[in-house]
Parts: sequence; C-alpha cells; structure tokens
Amino acid sequence: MLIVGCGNADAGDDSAGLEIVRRLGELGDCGCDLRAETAPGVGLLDLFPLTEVILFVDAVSSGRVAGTLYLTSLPSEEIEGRALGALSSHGWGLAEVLELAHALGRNIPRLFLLGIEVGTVAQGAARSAAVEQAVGLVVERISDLRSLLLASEVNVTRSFDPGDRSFPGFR
Amino acid sequence: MASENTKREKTVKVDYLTRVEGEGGVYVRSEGGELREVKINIFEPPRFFEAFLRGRYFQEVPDITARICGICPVAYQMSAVHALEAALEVTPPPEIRALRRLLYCGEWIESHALHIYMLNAPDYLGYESAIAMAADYPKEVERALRLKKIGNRLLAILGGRSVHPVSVCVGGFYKAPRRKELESLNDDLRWALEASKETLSFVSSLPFPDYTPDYEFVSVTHPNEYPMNQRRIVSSKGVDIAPEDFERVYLEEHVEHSTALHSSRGDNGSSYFVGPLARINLNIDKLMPEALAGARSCGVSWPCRNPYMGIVARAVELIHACEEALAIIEAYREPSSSRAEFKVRAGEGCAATEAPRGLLYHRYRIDEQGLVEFARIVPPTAQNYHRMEDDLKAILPGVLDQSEAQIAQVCEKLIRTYDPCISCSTHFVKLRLERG
Repeated sequence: MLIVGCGNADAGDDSAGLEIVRRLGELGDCGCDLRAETAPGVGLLDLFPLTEVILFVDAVSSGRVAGTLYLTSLPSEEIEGRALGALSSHGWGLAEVLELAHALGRNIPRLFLLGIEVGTVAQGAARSAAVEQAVGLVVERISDLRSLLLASEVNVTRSFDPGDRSFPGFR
Repeated sequence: MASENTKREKTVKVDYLTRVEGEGGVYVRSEGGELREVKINIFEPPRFFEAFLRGRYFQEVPDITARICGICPVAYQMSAVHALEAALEVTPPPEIRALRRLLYCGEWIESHALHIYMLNAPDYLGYESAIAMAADYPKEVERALRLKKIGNRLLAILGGRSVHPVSVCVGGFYKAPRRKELESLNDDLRWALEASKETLSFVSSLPFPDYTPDYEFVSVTHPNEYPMNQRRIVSSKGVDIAPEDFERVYLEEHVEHSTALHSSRGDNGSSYFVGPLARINLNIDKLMPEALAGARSCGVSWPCRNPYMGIVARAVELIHACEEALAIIEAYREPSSSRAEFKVRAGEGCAATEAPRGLLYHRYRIDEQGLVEFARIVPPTAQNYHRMEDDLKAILPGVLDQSEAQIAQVCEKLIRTYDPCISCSTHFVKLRLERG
C-alpha cells in the first residue's frame, strides 16, 4: 500500500497530509510506502503501476468541526469531482488523472481518500490543536488502517468526530 | 457560459478560458452586426513580484522569480541571473553557459509537450480536452506524457527538482552535475528526439485556419546559437537592439480592463508577437540540423505568419531542444568550479532570454550590499496580449453571426495558440459578448 500525503506545508491545517507522511516515515517501517505531493497532477499516473492500493491523505473542507476524519473509496459520489480536481493548482488533479487513466486504458489501483477537516489554512499559520490531534490519531492507528484498506472497500464515507478512537472502524 | 440579452445588447459570459494557465476573460461588443470593441480582461490578481524583490539579496532573486511560474521557472531564473550578472559584470565560463542551455532545453521539452498535446491539439481535432482526445489518440497522449516526464527529469537532475529548480545562482550553479548523471538521460533523450519528429509529423497534418496578418515578430538572437539565453533583440520590422534598449523600443502600459500590463511599440503603439513562431521566423538558420531538416520538410513555408501554426513551430523546437540537449551532454566535462567568482558591487543590468512562450525581459538595480533596489519583469504573455486583441479584432467580424458558443470557441482557439501563461503575466476564461 502507498500513502500519498498532499497539501501545503506552509498553510496551517493544509499541511496535515504531509505531516502524517512525515511522521510515518520517522516511525521506520510502517508497512506502507510513503510519498509527499505538494502539487499532485498528471505525475500521479506514474504511481498507479507501483502498487495495488493507494491512500491519499489530504485536508478537506466541508464545514464540519476541525479535526473530523473522513475515509472513503475513490471515486466517491459523495465527493465533488471539482473538489478532487482542485487538488492541483493547474487543474490537473486526481479527478482528471483518473479520467485520463481510464481513457488510456491504464490499470488503476484501488484508491482511497483520508480527509482531515481543516480549521485554519492561513499562510504561515500553525496547525490547529484539533488537526494536530487528528494527525496523531492517524499515525497511531496506521496499522489498523492498513489492514482495513488492504482487505476491503469503504463504499460509504465514514466520518469520525475529533478524538473518536474508533477510527478507522471495522471491515 | 451565460447570456444576458436586451433589445440593444447581448452579453455572453464564459467563466473560464480553459486549457490556459491562469484566469481571465474576453469582452466583445458589437452593434448592428459591426464589431465595436474587444478586450482581453485579465482578472487574475496582480502578484507584485517586482515589489517583493526590493530589499532582497541578489542571490535570492533566481529562486524567488522561479516561483512566478511552475511551467517555465527556468526562464525566470535565466533572465534573472543574466540581468544580475550584467549588473555585477560577471561572465560565467562557457561550460556553465552550456549547462544553462541544457536546463532551458529541459523546460522547453516539458512545456512544449504539454502545450502541443494537452492544451492546443484538441482545438484542431475537435475535442473539448486532452482527456477526451486520449480515447481516440492514446498513442499521441502517451507520447506527450513521456516527453513531459523526460523534460522534467532533466530539470530534476540539473536543477535539483523537477519544478522550481533550486540549483541556479548568479555566476553559475550551486552544484554542477556529474557527467554520469547527465549521461543517464541519453536513452530517454534519444527516444524523445524520435518522438519529437513524430510530433512534428502529427501537428503538420492538422487543419489550420487561413489567417496571416502582418505581424512584427520579436525575439532574442545570437550570431551562432538558436535563441535561448543571449544576446540581442531583433524584429521582423527591422529592430536590432541590445537588451539595454528594450524598454526604449517596447513599452509596457496599464490598461483599465486588465491586471496584466500590455506591451506595444513605443514609437507607434502597435502590437508585436513573441514566441516560438517569432524565434523560428527570425532564427531558422540557427536550428540544430535535424530540427532544421524537419522545419524545411514539414510543409510550412518560413517565415510563417499564421499564428495557428505556432504548434508546428513548437514541434520544431521540441526536436531542437532534444538534439541540443544530447549534444551538450556529449560535450560535457565536469567543471572545476560550478560558478564564477565575483565581488558584490552596486550596478544595474538587464537581459532577455527566451521562455517557451516567448521573450522574457528582466532589469535589476542593486546597491553596494547586493540588495535589490529596483526590479522590472516583462513576461512574454503580457507582451502578446495587445497582439491577441488585434487578432481577435481581425477575426471576429467574420464570425459575429455565429452562436455565442461558436464565437467563444473562436476566441479561445486563437488565444490558446499563444500558449498564454496568465499567472505569469498578472501583474483568462471568460467571454462577455454584447450585441447591439
């Protein structure tokens, strides 16, 4: 399984995905390959042949409480294509890459998104306490998360309130 | 796209001009079937890079200006270091100049591959996007992806990373690459050279509208190199100047409808054209042999005044960039020092280099501590806006009776031939059409 942390390291809670990948790297062997992507675009196509499962970890904004975690298979009807497209500043986000991969007949691995609800994304801001807690929880539960995603799909988006230690849930 | 119609006026809005970098729009007004007004209105926020640079140490300038664009950061670095080296009276050794050209080759490869296949080709083949085109042209899109990757890999090896390289400094490079590192690119570049020739065959067969205005083409020129980094500036209307005279001949001015400045000839206010078509028209004899052979045999008569054939010019330059990259690597010997030594002093200097989408001019004044007192950056897209408006004024009268969607498509197709980088120029897309 490959974990791709996305975000902007200098924009407060938007750094959550990158921070999770960084901390997992510090742990040593977490059982997953790790990659940081500050501007995911068409280069994501190169990742598809590398693995059978890819988990994207990124900040999300839905209006709920900061630090809420969301877990879903991709593509998901519950997530706007526009939101996935907006992962890239040049309009080539995951949604476009998936379309292109389909058009080219490429094999696409099983894809998942772990979203972390943001509080502040101001330039230069520190991560909020709620998102910091969520980052810690994901790192702590990475083994359970890996087991879950290797074994099953997450067809209905799961959400976990801040501090909900039932994350990532059961198969 | 939305429309607001009254008895006298018809307004059409296209929220975004797609397949360009950045955000802006087109405003078109007609009365009684006559075209009255065309404006390319850039609404991307101004970015104030020239102001950011004031007070910064001169060695920070290449890294800061690289952030202006993710597609052509090398161009900003190259114009910056050449202008600052002029101010500091530094002359890097020939092997450093060659490495800089190699870095530029990487940028031209990735940028031209992106524009040819992913942004521009769908216009001529009748697709909404490269994704839609990929289903019918998978071989071509796969070729584009691999070409772009090779260009980015060259940037990563020489520049430290594939986007916004970090190895360039005033005087040379922070670190020179090992010969083995560069040689590791040879197989990819040989493949890219053949793929570039296939690209030229592909784009030469596309159907182009017949439109050949009397452009003033402007580009950098060098006595024995295809223009990239140096030296004079020439035009198809007889201009032949040193970079120091650029601002005397070509003026930037603010226009109310745009957050990007517009450039014109200073003496008569006319528009001019920068980009691959200008470079080839003014420097065709400096192309590398296989690129020149391709240009001569592709069915285009040079000089070419049809802006839609800019895609052919890009394909010729794609061949050139691959060929020159291979030649530079073949000749490369690791230098004893990666950069020239020099003393910091007060001074002022300017330079023009050739970004993938056209001439890019920088001027800096620094004080005795090496802090920037003044900066001016004139990007290629800002220089082309005036020309794009003139083109639309020439083309639109012939299509005003068509549907709003068709008029929008005509506007977008013309503008995309320039490969505009709106983010770079703000200091597009949305069509607003008023019919009276």
